[in-house]
Amino acid sequence: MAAEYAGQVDVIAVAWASTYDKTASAARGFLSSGATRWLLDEDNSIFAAFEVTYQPVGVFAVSGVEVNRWFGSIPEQELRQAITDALA
Amino acid sequence: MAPVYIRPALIIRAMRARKGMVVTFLAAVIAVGACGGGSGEEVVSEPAETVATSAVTTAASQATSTTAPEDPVLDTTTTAADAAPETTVATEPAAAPETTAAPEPTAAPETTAVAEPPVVPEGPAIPALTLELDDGTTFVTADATRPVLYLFWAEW
Repeated sequence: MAAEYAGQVDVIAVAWASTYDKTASAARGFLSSGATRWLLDEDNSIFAAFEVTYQPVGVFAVSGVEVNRWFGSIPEQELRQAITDALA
Repeated sequence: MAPVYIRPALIIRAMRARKGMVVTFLAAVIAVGACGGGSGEEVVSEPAETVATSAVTTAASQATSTTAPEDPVLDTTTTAADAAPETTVATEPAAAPETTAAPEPTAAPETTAVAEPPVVPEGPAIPALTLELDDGTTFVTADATRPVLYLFWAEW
């Protein structure tokens, strides 16, 4: 889905609580399209800044403002609607 | 040679007679000067010379030198010369302000009407962070120009 909106929406995957090699291995299988960029939050500072205490969590931001937050798996229909509203 | 004596009474009479003549002569001169009889001949003769030469500049110079405003020929030449520049000067400034004032008010409102304030959605601000990504690029959250989906996940 990230590849579908490439050039219109940036997708940043922030991983935590693991090693770089394990996270990179999972990212090659999980984020195979290449449209999603990722990083390992080794000191949990990014999770803390977003006030995320568990995973998975999705945060959708428009113009520097958080407009949606999903806890657990993200419903595809809701995510598409949020993207469509943001691009309108 | 006998001396000739003239009576004082004759001398007085002669002086009185001369005095009366002098007085009448001076009165005549003053009367002629007041009527302008002497200058009338010059005014009549000079306009004929200017018309024959038909030179406006010479006529104007002669008119100032002779100081004869009563001449109809000189009056028409001077009024014609004065009227021509007045009409041309009056028409030139009337056209200039109309052309310069017309484009200014029409251009200003168009540019100001196009600008609209961007719509900022409601919600908490995203924390300002600099993220070092796996592909070697840097992503600054505060500088994002497009919508961003942040996925918090773990490999396990």
